[in-house]
Formats: sequence, C-alpha cells, structure tokens
Amino acid sequence: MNIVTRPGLLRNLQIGFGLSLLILVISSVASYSSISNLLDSSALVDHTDSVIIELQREQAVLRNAESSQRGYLLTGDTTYLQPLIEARGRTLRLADSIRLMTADNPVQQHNCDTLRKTIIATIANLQDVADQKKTANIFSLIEQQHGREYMARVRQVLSNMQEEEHKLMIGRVEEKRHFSNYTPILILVAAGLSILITLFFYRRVHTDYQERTALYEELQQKEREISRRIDIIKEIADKISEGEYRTRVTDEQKDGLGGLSGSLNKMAESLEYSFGLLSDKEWLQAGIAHLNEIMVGEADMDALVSNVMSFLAGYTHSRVGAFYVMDFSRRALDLKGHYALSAGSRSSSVMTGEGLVGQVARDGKRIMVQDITQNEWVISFAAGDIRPRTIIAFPLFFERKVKGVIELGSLESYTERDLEFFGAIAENIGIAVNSIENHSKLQELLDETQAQTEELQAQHSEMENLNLELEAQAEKLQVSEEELKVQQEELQQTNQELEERSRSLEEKNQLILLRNLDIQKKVDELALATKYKSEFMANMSHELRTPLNSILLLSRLLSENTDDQLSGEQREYARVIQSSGQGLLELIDEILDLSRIESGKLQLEHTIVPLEEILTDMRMLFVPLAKDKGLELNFIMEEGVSLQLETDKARLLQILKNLLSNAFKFTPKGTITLRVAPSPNQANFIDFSVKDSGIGIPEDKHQLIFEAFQQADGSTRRKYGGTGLGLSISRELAKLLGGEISLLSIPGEGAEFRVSVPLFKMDPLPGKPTQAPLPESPYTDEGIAPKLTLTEIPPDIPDDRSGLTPADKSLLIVEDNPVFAKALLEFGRKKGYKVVVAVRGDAALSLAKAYRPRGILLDIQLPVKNGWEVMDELKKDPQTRHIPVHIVSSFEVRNESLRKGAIDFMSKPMAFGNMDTIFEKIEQVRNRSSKKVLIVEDNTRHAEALSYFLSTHDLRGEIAHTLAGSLTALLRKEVDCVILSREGQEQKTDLTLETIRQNKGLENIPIIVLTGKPISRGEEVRLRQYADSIVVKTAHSYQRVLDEVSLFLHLVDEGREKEPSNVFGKLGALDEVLRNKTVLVADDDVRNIFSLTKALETHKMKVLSAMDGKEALATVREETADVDIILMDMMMPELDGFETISRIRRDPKLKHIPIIAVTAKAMAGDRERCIQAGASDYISKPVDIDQLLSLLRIWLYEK
Amino acid sequence: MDFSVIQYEEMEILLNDLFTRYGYDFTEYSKASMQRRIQRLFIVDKFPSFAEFRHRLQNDPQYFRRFVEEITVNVTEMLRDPAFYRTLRTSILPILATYPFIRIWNAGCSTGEEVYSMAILLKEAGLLHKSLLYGTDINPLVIEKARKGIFPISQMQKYSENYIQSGGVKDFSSYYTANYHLAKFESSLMEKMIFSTHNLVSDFSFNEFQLILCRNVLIYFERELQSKVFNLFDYSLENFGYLALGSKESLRFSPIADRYRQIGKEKIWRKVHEAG
Repeated sequence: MNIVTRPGLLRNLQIGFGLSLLILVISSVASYSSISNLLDSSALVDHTDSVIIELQREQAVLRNAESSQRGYLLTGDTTYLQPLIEARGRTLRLADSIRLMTADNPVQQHNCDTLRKTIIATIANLQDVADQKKTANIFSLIEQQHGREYMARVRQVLSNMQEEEHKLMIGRVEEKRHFSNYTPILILVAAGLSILITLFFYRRVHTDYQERTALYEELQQKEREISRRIDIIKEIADKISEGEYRTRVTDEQKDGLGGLSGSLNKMAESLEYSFGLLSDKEWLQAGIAHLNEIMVGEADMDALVSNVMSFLAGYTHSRVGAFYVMDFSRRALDLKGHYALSAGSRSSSVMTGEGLVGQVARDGKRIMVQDITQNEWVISFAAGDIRPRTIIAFPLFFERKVKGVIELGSLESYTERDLEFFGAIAENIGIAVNSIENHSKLQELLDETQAQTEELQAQHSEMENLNLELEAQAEKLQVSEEELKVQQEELQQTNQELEERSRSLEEKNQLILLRNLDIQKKVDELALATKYKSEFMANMSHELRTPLNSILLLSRLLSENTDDQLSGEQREYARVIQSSGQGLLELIDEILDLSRIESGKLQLEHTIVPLEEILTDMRMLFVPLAKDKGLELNFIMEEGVSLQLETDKARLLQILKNLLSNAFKFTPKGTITLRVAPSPNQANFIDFSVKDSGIGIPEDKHQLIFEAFQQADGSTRRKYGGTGLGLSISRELAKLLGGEISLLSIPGEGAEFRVSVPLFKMDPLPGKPTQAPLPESPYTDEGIAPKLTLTEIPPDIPDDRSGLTPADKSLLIVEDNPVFAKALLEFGRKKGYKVVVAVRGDAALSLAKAYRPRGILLDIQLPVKNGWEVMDELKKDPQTRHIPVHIVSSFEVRNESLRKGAIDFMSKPMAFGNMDTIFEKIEQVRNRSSKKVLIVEDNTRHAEALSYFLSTHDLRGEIAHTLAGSLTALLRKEVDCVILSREGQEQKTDLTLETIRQNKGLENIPIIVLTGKPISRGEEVRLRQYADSIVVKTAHSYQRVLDEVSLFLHLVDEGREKEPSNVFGKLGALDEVLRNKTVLVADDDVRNIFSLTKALETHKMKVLSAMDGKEALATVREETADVDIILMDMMMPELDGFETISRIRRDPKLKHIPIIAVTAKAMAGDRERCIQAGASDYISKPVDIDQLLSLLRIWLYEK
Repeated sequence: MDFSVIQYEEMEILLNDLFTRYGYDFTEYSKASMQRRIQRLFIVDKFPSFAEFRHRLQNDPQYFRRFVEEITVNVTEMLRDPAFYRTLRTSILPILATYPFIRIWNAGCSTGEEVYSMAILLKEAGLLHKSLLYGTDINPLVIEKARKGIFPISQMQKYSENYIQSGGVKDFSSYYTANYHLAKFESSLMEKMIFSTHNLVSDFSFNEFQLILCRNVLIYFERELQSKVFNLFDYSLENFGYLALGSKESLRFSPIADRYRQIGKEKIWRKVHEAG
C-alpha cells in the first residue's frame, strides 16, 4: 500500500512543479527575447545615427576643404591651405571608419567605395586647383567648375548613403517591433496557466500528505515490535557466539518470534553442525600433528611404540592397547609395546591370520568389536581388573603394505571421529615404523661396514706383527751368525793354543809311553796269570755243571714221580739227590761268582727297580720258609724311603737272599725283620737291614765272617750247613753296587746286617780293580776257545711237530744234550707250548721257518753249526728275524748273546725257577719288540688288504677270522695292537671286547675298533670303554688306522711305565668313604667321562655316565636309590646343566642328592650361578682329580 | 699428532676396571684395535668425558653388556674364502668321515654363518647326522642371532657364488627359504648345532674335537693371548684333529707349532703329535 502511495505523491509533485517550471521558463524566455529585441533596435538606431554623423562630418570636412581652397584662391594665403591638406587624411580616415561600420551591408560598402573615389577625386581636384593657383597664380574656372561638380557628386553620394542608412534603420526597427508586440500576451497566458496548475497540484499533494501521516503511524507501531524480536534474536545469538550451539528458541520465545523461531533453530542447528565439523577436524589435525611431533626423529622402536601408545590411548580415551609390528620373515606380528596391558593377556607374537590382530594384518582392514562381555584383555588396576567393552584393531601401512597393527580397547565405544583418526594416522605410524626399520637397517649396514674395516685393520696389523716376527727372526739369525763368527774366531784361537799344548803333551806322552811299556809288560804277566785262573775256574765249573745238570733235572723228574712208579722212599732219595745237587750247584755258582768278582769280570746291569718289587720277591721266597720254621718274618718300610732305586736288581736280591737265609739259618726261634730305611749316614743311600733274634756273633769275629770260607765258629758249618762264601760274596757285591755291609751284633741276642746301597748308579768303591784289562769273553779268543761246533750228532728226540698247527703256541729248542733237551721239552709242554726239538744247529733255521715258533731256546755248543752261526742265520732271514731267541749255555756268554740279538742269556745248569723267567722273557720281548698287529676281520680280502697296507709301513699284520681265535692269540700275548672289525657281528664283538678287557694283562692292549655302519652316541660311549679308538670304514680309514696304530705302539711303553705309580699307595682310610658309592658323571665330553671314570674306579666307586642332561635325568630317576652323587657338566646338548640341576631339584626324591657342577668357564660369578641353579658345589675344568676326590669325600662323608 | 679421544693409558684403566668388576679380560686384546672400538663406542654414545664413560661402565651392568656387544667385531659370511672350504671338502671331510662321531668347534662364530656353512658341507658329504657343531662366541647377542639361522637375503647372491666356488654342485637356494628380505636356513641344518657363549680368554676346554675353526678371531688378540688360546685349542683337539685359522693368521711362531703340520696352502693344520 505504501509502495503504491509513495510514487503517486512523488509524481504529483514532479508533474505539478514540472509544469509550473515549464511555464515559467517559457514566459521568461519570451520576456527576455522581447527585451533584447528592444535593446537591439535602439542599438541599431544608435548605429545608424553614428553612421549619419560620420557622414555629416565627412561632408563637413569636405566643405572645410572647399572653403579653405576658396579662401586660398581668393587670398592666396597658403595658411588657408592647411585644412585642405589635412582634409585629405581626415576624409580618408572617416571613409574607412564608415566602411568599417557598414561592413555588414554590401550596398553601403559599395557606396563607401564610390564615396572614397569621389572624395579622392574631389580632394585631388581641389588640390590641383590650389596647386595651379600656387604655380600659376591662376585658376581655371573650368577647373573650378569641375570642383563644383565633384562637390556635388560627393554630396550626392553622401546623401545616398544617408538615405540608405536611414532606410535600413527603419526596416530593422520595424522588424523588432513586430516581435515585441507578442511578448505581453505570452506573459499573461503563462501566468494564468501557472495559477491553474498550482491549484490543481496543491490539492493532489494535500491528499498525499494525509495518506503519509497515516502510514507513518503504522510504521512506528511495527518498529517497536521489531526491536523486541531483535532482542530475543540477539540473546540467542549471544549464546551461540558464546559456544552454546545447542541453544534453541524456547516455546515462550517462539510466540514472540513466530515463524522466525523455526529459522533461528534451523540456523542454530546448522551452526552446531558446522562448528562440530570444524572442531572434529581440528581435533583430528591436532592429534595427527601431535602424533607426528612425537614420532618425528625417533630412532628407537621401543621408544616410538611406547610414546605412540600412550599418546593414542590418552587421545582416544582408550584404556588398554597393544602395538604389533610385522615381522615379514615369519609372517608374524611381534608385540613391541603396550599400554596398561596386564602381563597375562599379552601374547608376544601372533601369526598372520590368527586372532583379531592377525586377521587385521592379513586383510589390511580395521576390525572393531563392540559390546563385548567376555574378553581376553583386561585392564588391571590396584583393586582388580576390568574388561574393555570395545576393541578396535587397525593396520598400519607403508606403501600399501601392512607394517603393523595397533589394538586398542576402551570402556566406551569409539566415535566416528576416533575411527577417522585411526584411519588418518595409520599411514603416518606405518611410515614412522618403516623409517625406524630403515634407520636401523642403515645403522646395521654402517656397523657392518665399520666392523669390516675393523677386521681389515686387525688383519693388517696381524700381518704386520707376523712380518715383525719374521724380521725379528731374521735379525736373530743375523745375530747368531755374528756369534758364530765370533765363536769360530775364538775356536781358532783355542785351536792354536791347543795345538801348542798338544805339542807339549806329546812330549810328555813320549815319556809316559816308555813307562807304560814297562807297566804293560807287567800287566800282561799278571793278566796271563789271572786268565789262567779264570779259565780254570770257568772250565771247571762248566765241567762240573754238565753232569750236575742231568743230575738235577732227572732227580727233579724222579721226585715229582708223575708216573707213580716210585715208592716214597725212592722219591725221598731222589729229593736228597736233588737237594745235594742243588747245594753243589750253589757252591759252584758262589765260587764262580766270587772268582768273577775278584777278577772284576762281573758286569752289573743297572735298572730302575721299584722297592716294592724287591720286597715282594723276598716275601715270596721267605714267607713259606718262615712258616715252616715257625719264625716271625716282618717287612718294614720306613717313611720317607724312596720308592725305587737304580741298581742291579739281581745282585741286590742275591745279597738280601744271602743275608736272609743266613738269618734263617742262625735263628731257631723268634723274629726276623727286613727293614728298609733311608740311610742315616749318607744322603741318596738306602739301607736294607736284616735283623734276627738268633745266636748272634761275637765282636771279635765280626771281621772274620766276611772272609771267604769263614764262619764265626768252625762248628757252625757242621750245625747249620752252608759254604761260608755267602757273606764274602755279599760284601763284594755290595761294594760293586757302590755300597757296603755293616754288622751289629751281640752274641745271644741276634745280629743285624745292614746293606747300604746308593739310590742311583755309582761307580764302584775304589780300591778294587774296576775293569779287568782282559777281553770280555775268554772264549772268543782263538786258540783258547773251546770247540763250539761239535761233530758228534746225537739221535733225534721225539717232539710235538707232527700235531702242530699254525695257531698253536710253539717253541723251538736247539740243544744237543738229549737229557737236557728232554728236560726242556717237558717244561715247555708244561708251559703250554708245543715243542719242536732240534739236536743239530743246521736244522734250526728250516724248522724255525716251517713252524714259526714263538720263541727259540738255543745252545751254543752244537753239532754241524754252532749257536752263533744259527743265530746269524735266524737274524738274517726276514721270516725269522722277529722270533725271540733265548740263549741257554754252560758258557758265560751273556754279553755276546745280547750283542748277537738274543733276548737274554741263561747259564746252564739252571734252577727250575729260572725256567719260568725264560718263558716270561720270551713273551715279554715278543710283546715289546715285534710290531705285530692282530687284525680280526670276517672278510678275508679286507683283512689282507689292511694287512698289506700296514706291512708297507713296517707293521706286521696277523689275521684272525674269528673272535675266539683272536682271544687265544691275545692271551698268548704276542700282539701289540688289535684292530677289531665289528662288521656283521656287533654284539658279539662288543662282548668279546669286554671279556678281553677283563683278562688280566690285556687291560692295556690298544684296541682299534673298525666299524662298518654308523653307531649311536650311546654305543660310542660303551665302545670307548673298551676300545681306544673307533674308526668308521671309509676310503680313508686305512690311513687313520695306521696313524692310530703307530701312535699306540709308540705310546704303549710310556703308558705302561707310568701306570704302577698311579695306583701305588693311594688307597687310604679315607677311601672307605668313596668305596662302593655310585657317582653319575654327566658330560658330553668323552675324554672327561673316561678320565673321571678311570680315576674314580681306582677308588672303588661305581661310575654311571650320561652324555646329556636328558640322559642324566633319566638315569638319576631310574636308579634313585643308587646314585649317591652327581658330577654335572654345565654345557651339554639337549638339556644344559643348569636346567638339569633345577629339574633334579624339583623332584622331591632327588633334591638331596649332592650335585657338583663341572664347568669350563672360569669367570667370576659362574660359581654363584651354579649354586643358584641348585648345585651343591663347584669345580672347574680341567678337573684336578685330588680336588675332586676331596670334594667327593666331603659330600659323601655323611652318607 | 694423536687425535684419539681415549688414550692408551685410559684404556688400560678401563680394561682393568672391567676385569675386576665383571671378570671379562680384554687386557690382552690387540691394543690398536681395542682403542679404535672403544673410541667408536665412546663417540656413538656421545659421552662427554672419559670419567663419565668409565663411571657408566662400572655402575651399569646393562651398559657393560652393550660394551661387550659393541667392542667385539662381528664380520662373517657364509663360505668365506671358497678355496678354504674347497680344501675342507676335498681333504678334510673324507678323513673326518672315518670317525664315528664328528665334533666340530667353531670358536668365535659370531652370527653363525660359518657354522651353517660347515653344516651344509657336512650334509653334502653325508656326515651331518653324526656330527655335532659347537658354535661359541663371547657376545651373547650374536649367539642369539646364530641360533635363529636367519640372514639377510641381500647376501645370498654372494653366498651362492662362494658356494659354487667352494665346489658346491647343488642349488644353494635349496638350503633356505626366502621371505621378504630375509632368508631362513632349513632346520635340519640346525639340529646338530649347539650355540653357547664361551670366553676364549678365561674359559676352559669343554670337549674334544676333530676340527676346530677359529677364523679371524686371533687377529684381535695380542701375542701372549694367542698363545694361550692355541694351547686351549691344542688341549681340545684329538690326535690327528684339525685346526683352521683365518687367512691372515698363522700357527707359526706359536708354542704348539711343532706339533702341527699344515695341510696344503690353506690355513689348516693337523695335530700330528700329542702334547709332551
């Protein structure tokens, strides 16, 4: 309505005022133009007036000029001429101004021109006339006439012009007046119109105004209403601006606002939505930014993971969380860090596809589980556990590959925003994880490079060191070269000196030589005498011995009465014959001994003799005798006495035997004591004293009894028997051994003989001829030598050759004396030999070759070929070279025999006890000298091949096919080393091995087991108990067998020598503690098991063994009652020592068993670790046996 | 002109500390090498002063562990020096085959590459079933790695070449399973392996072996320590057993040299006499 009215009013006003204005303008214009017309017409009149004036002035000037001429002409006065002269300029000027004034009128212009010409002509005429007068003082009337005419013409022109101007003026005024006549009419009309219009519009405007006022009233009303609404809106807007997006128009307000409330609410809602969106975005961005900040520059995975987890948990209000990183090699996820996760619910590694996390990793998609009631995850806090309600797991990516998975749990549910957040950070964390991995890879590479550099440098310096070493050696060489040079020079000098000395010596020698020749002569004489004596003695004894031999052997055989053909009496006779013979033999021996000692021909053979051996021999000899006689016999070894001595055992025994048998002889009852003690008088001497409680020896006889054939009392011989040579021989022998015999005795209270001998080999005491200047053996001297090769050939003796097989233990006897040969034959048979007898020397070699005997007993005096010749033949033939030859002869040719290669020498006749030694010697020598290897192998070709291989290395292989055969061969003790193939008959082999080892004398024979098929570790352990080495059959086995064999054969002697001292005297009372106790040795080191087993078994302990922890555990459980103590190695396969010990300790039945930990580690803290694991005690490798034994005693003492 | 951060004297002090405090004896290690390693650690871990370094080492056993791990040099590869392994294949393994059980000790095995190499050789010679391979190192960390038998795949090409040069005729990749950037060796190789820490300086022999490999370890030791270790090896070797050393190492000049004979040109010695 308003909009309609307003333009109406405006238009009315516009139209009204517009019209009035128009009329006003028109009337004004009309007025203006009429006024200006009036003005114009008056100006025109003025103009015309001024033109006319000008024209009149022109006329006047001309008249003046005319009058001045006339005046002149009349008077002739020239002053009248002045105006004429001036007139010309004035008239022309006036003409020009007229011309200017009438420029707008062409007619007038033309008139002006005419005027001008006329004026000029007139003036000129006047002038001419004046000039004529002047010049001629006349003037022509004609001319005067002309002048008049000219004047008239000018008047004519001027009047024309005045008329013309006048006419023009009238015309113009008339025109103007015409216009001016309409102007008042126009003004009147306009005034009338104006009044009408004003009136009309006033009415119109008035009406409009009335309407407007009404409208205004209405407007004010509306304005008040609007301001109220604005207040409400403002209030709401304020609230919203304060952030209360949830503000809405209340119902009350709604009434006020009406429809606006809807819009407002809508606006608030959309604001709320937009702001929510904004703040979510901001939250998201801030979260991502913060996370990035945390992750940036982090190089440590654990730190990253824990930072990320604690941030994520805090930011998303998660209560629990876990961070898994993908391990591509295993396709598994490793738990790298967690947030508030209790230990029980962690799984440190998850395979891809397993569980929630694994599935996420496989799919690369997030999984959310909501409203869970049962859940493995718990959130622990002081008062208990809570289980989260929602769990989400989302993957972490790097270049579209899953790098890891984060799992989070919350007590509430996750919002969209959280989920978006997880989506947004997945890549970032993935990148961070990747970059850390890359970084660590890079670091690794760097480290590796550095390490390689280091190694290169170290290698370089090692090379330098080696170089230095070489240089140093080169220098040393140079130095020693220098030294050598110097020494050489010195030597040269010394040489010169020596030469000088030798020259002077030579001179002295000349003198000495002369004297020596004298001496030599005397010595020769003496020697000849001694030789004769010795020869006599030797021959005599030989001649005596030969018959004695027969007497002894035959009487012995008789007395043994094997055929039961003799009566008791006869046997008694035989015994008497034998004992008399024996006595005779002893006497001869003693005489011979004495003579030999006196002639200095007795050679001593020094060896290392264990004391115990001497005592044992004495015991064996005299203990039965003591029993017979009812005497008490004591052997006392004092403390501090050396356990062995270097001496001639046989001679020392001879002395002691003499002394003891003397003691027995002279002691009817009481005690006899052999005491061994370190010598109180001399260092490195040992005293053997024989004390009896017999009749004793008066002091004055002390010297006497040592003389030959002397006894304290002549009557004693009759009473006690004996030759009386014993003590003299003993004294001489003691002297030879470097010692002496002293006597301490009080008659009736017994006697004490003390033999002092040095512990080490010494030169005999001075005072006796040490070396007879005689040839060693008188028999080698031509001329005096008895005939060795006999011509008389005795008949053959029946022997065992017919039933002899190669496997039999055979013996060859080469002896021409049938009686003695038979006796030997008998003894050989008794010893288990099959005996072959040769009565002639030339048969010996062929028999030896044919029967390959184990040993040969060879006489020297033989038919056809003597013993030496036979010996040479045997030793030259490679087939018989190895057979030990024992010389048995009535000639004293010990040294000769040994030189020729015999193993020993025995003189005829011999005591029967000595027969045994012959055989022992044969066996012993065989064992030692011939490198014979017994090959027990089923497969003949293999065996032969091996044997051949060994033979190329100077080893003799003997092949046995069966184990039984091998055992007998072994018992014959002719083999140095055994190679035992267990192919095809393992169990049997193992059994045999065991039996072999159980045989006395075979404990030490080296056995190498060849095995065709692989064996188990248990088997190895078992085998190693008996076998010294195990070789598996391959193409290279032979070489190794050879290595091992040569090693063993080399080591055997050393091993044997060492052994007795090990066992010697170690068993004491404390060993009672160890006796029969069972010890379990758990160790994977076979060496250790064996050395320990051996050491412990000597102490009568029972040893079980285990190769690893499991086995140890099983053994200990199985035999709970039996195992008393365990020795546990800490580094073993399967179960290590620590674990085994703790398992044993967990078993209530086993927890009290003492365990001694054995470890190779010597580091501080190892002991503590072992004890902590449950070991009772600790010992470090290498195990000191004494320390171990004392430990064992300590721990077993209680049991 | 010594730019070293740690002086010899300081190093001596440090090593003595460690010996008394932890029982690890590094005093007989090669001085120059030791100094370089300590220097490196000192710089990597950004210690402000020697005193601080020393204090940390004395009072932080964890850090000492790191020290041991970092100070030891762990460079190794499979079938390193193929010619050496070729000799093992052609000359040594046939002899070892004659033993019922083969015990091999790889002293200073680092991450175990050589142990696995040996296992492959044994397997190809058909001997693995009766062998036991002991791998020891002073550094517990590398022993852990060795136990796993996982090596970076990037090395495999080189190893393959080594393998072929060492006389291998099979496909080297048949021994491992590749997975991303790692290669895991088959478990049948690992069955016969025992890994343990062992300190050559202080620990004693723990078994008797037919073959001991100790390659590029002795270069880090001073001469006396080398002799000590040689004696330990000598004690741990059976008669006729073999001792293999690194390319720059030698048994020459050592106290046990006269009991050993070198096999061919490679650094392998055979014990030919028992210790006197």
